Amino acid sequence: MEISQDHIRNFCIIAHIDHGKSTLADRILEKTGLLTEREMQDQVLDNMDLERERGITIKSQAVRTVYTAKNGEEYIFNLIDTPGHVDFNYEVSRSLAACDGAVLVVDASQGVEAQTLANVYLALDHDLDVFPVLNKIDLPSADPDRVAEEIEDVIGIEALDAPRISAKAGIGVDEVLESIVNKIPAPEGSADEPLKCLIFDSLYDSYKGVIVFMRIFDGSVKPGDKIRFMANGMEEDVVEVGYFGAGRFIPCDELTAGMVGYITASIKDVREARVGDTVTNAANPCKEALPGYKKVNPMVYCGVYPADTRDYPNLRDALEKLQLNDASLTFEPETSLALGFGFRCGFLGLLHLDIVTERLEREYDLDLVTTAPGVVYRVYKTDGEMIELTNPSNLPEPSEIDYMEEPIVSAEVMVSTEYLGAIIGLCQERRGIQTGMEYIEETRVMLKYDLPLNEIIYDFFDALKSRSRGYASFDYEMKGYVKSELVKLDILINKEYVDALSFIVFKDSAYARGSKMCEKLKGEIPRHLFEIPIQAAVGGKVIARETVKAVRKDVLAKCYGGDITRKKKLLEKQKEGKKRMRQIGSVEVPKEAFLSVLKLDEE
Amino acid sequence: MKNNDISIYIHIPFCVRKCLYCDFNSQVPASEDAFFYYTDALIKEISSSREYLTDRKLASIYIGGGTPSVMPSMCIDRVLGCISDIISIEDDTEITIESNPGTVTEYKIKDYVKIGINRVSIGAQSMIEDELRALGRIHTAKDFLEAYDKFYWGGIDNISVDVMTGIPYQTRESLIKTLEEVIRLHPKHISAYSLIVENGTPFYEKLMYGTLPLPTEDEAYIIYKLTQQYLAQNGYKRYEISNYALGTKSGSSKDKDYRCRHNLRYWERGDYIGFGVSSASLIGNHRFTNTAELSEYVSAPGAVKTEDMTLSDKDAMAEFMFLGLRKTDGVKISDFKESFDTDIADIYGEVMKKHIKDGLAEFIAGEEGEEDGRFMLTERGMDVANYVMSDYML
Repeated sequence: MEISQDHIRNFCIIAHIDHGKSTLADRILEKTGLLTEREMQDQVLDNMDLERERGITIKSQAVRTVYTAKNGEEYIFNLIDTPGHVDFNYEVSRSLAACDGAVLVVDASQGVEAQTLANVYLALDHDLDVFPVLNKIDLPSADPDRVAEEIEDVIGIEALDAPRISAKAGIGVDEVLESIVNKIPAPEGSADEPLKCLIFDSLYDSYKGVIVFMRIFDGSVKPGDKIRFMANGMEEDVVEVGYFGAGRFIPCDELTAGMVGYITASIKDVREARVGDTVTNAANPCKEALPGYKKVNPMVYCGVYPADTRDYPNLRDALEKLQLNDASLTFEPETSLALGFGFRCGFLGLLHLDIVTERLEREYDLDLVTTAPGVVYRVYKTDGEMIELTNPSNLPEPSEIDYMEEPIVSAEVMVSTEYLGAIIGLCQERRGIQTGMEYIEETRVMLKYDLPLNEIIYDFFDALKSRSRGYASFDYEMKGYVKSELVKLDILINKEYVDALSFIVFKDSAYARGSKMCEKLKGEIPRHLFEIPIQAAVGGKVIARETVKAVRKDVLAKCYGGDITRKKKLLEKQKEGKKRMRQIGSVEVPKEAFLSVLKLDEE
Repeated sequence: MKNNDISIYIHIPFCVRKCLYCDFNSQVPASEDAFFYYTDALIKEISSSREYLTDRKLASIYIGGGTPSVMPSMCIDRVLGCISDIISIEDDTEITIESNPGTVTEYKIKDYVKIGINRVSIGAQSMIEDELRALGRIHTAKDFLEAYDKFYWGGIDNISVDVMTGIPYQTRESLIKTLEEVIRLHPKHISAYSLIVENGTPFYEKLMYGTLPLPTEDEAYIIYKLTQQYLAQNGYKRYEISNYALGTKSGSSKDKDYRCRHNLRYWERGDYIGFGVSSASLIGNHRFTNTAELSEYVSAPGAVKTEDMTLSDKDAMAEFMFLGLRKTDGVKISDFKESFDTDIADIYGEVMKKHIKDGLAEFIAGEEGEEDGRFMLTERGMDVANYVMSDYML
């Protein structure tokens, strides 16, 4: 089929979580005949088991389908699915940059949420034409008229004639398809210009090497062309070009301006084809790269250790394999007195961390001990040197520190007025500084806060949900670094300093955090034959203490002929229990204890 | 250390009523007929087990339960008779029967003596009425005293008394009262068990609902230690975690040894064969255990096993340690070598050293030096025996 550029529509679907983005995507694929209903597995675009289970999109995906419009003409739809979490904000922005328009899905009963706004603003920043769709109109609580008005008021885009649909029930999807043809512009750009493409994702394939996902803005590319990655200057010969079928790659002869597709060029490492980079023709390069490329740096670090020290090489292999497909995952070896050999890993955020550790445990069958996640602090030393601190244990002596800075984010919280007080309270507890407050409707408020990143990475989202009974939504972006009074909180178990339990904390929170930490650890460390003091200390000064009482009696009263097998099993179990612990001095500490710092705010 | 001796255990799975803490295999029989069916089954099993008993020396017989004394003495007579047809019962064969107050008569005891029973273990548990009621016992303190007298004057003076510690309502004072009243009788042997609430018992359910009035953990520990002290002060030497005997051999040959020979065989891994429902046997390293289902047992006595295996060396070594260390005189270094043809130090050297260092165990050289020495738990080691013994699992 000859593809004319004005019959291509490159678009994405944006939505707040759970507003029905993936369901609509599936419906579109089904209606355009790419999938029969029988072949449909729910949420085709979310490939990983984890994505399906959690109902979130982790990696960008793209798919091409053909739609025969009511005017009788065939259109090529390139649907680019974007990750749905703030951790992957940069990936989202690159995916949006690859599109010409966006379908904004809004839940007809929930209305506009924090992510709705964040996503719309991001789309508008990229000059996308956005049209809204009101989803879930079949729900009894749906109020499409109100939500349409809200969209016009809050976002300022036309919404009164927005398609009113139920993606789940298949209502109104035809109207969405027609709107895509009519409301989203055809791609601009010219096939005659020098090649200019944007990388919006990449994937490692053990046969083909790295498969680079691209949007072609200008020019054309075909196998045999020599291409150049503009960020690092790397040049490669194109081996294959193609487009995205449902769950498979379909090779073609050439990709031209306006198209979305992939190339392979025997690239071995996804980090060489960074998301956001511009690809051009080496012989006939474009004048300048597309704007907006940046190397994404990890925001959250934690130590990842094998529960069984013998698994260290397996952990390294697994991390290497995951990194093949995840350019934003970093790791370097570190050793801990308490945990032995492991890795300090960097992640985009806590969700990213969660996903990686869960995949390590699940797909690579590893039993892990992870230490408390922390952000990257900047330590300015008296000698003028600045270090980026990712492991609290590496904090220089207080006498060598001039001052420290911590990362802050600007956050937007959407909350109904009923819970406004509770949420403001929460933000204040987390050292937030209010930068704005706006009534969206009579009953809904948009709060703007600057918050230290280390106050939100652990459990802010959960606290937000519980204090607002689920009626608050949240989005944030990195703002920068500010000077802050920070100290390292150390934990001593039986008078032994446990490096893996140290964390950096705001000075005024140290006492409260330290006490809670001791209390938590008291619950996690089993009783031993001796009393175990658990202490929290700042700069060598103990600020909190708990004691795990000694076991005084642990004995089987009877053991006669018929009991022996059963009693032996009990003792074996007890021994197994000991084996799963980490030895710190003479104290055996279960791996769960290392995570207790995470759960400080649970009641 | 293996010699030609063998011991026999006979399980009688019947009680007048099941105690609230009991997780042993026992039930209330529907009618007296059950005793006779069961006796027939025992005889059938014993008769088919000749291979294990021929050319052996019978060290002990232990009739346990349940409450074996609920059985008509005629049944016990038939079982012992069947055994003596296969293996000779000597004068010095220890033959123990367990009994509970309220289930014995002078006539029954006369029969027991006649058929050769020379030791009895009586379940007193407590001498405090409230405590007995809370345990679900069928007897009173007075019933116990009467039963004791009947055995003593009936001709069985080698008597062991069971008491329990850490039970509902127990205090230090009530414990001392129980021990005082028991010791006044000068039983040769006392077993003092601390209550363990086992899953599946009515006590377990009460504990879960928070309605079991147990002493606090600290109080239970004090009661536990007080029991040891009080018994020691009164001449009862602890020879196993829960067992105490009067005049235990202290090297002088005049002393009569009142330790329970049968139970020692379990802890020393001597050969024993168990007859009856759910009873276990160990012959060399062959362990087999009868079904716990009474109907299954009676329909094919001895044929259905819940376990039947040859222990690996590792299993056997672990058992050697955790059973041997239950005894206050621990394990003999040379016995390990004899049993496994390996030095104990090669297997357990590290862990033994650690336990000695931590004050949980000690080593005492024998007359002929270290080879001849013994390795045993200290009092502290005994208190936390599970913690220590689990280190010997291989």
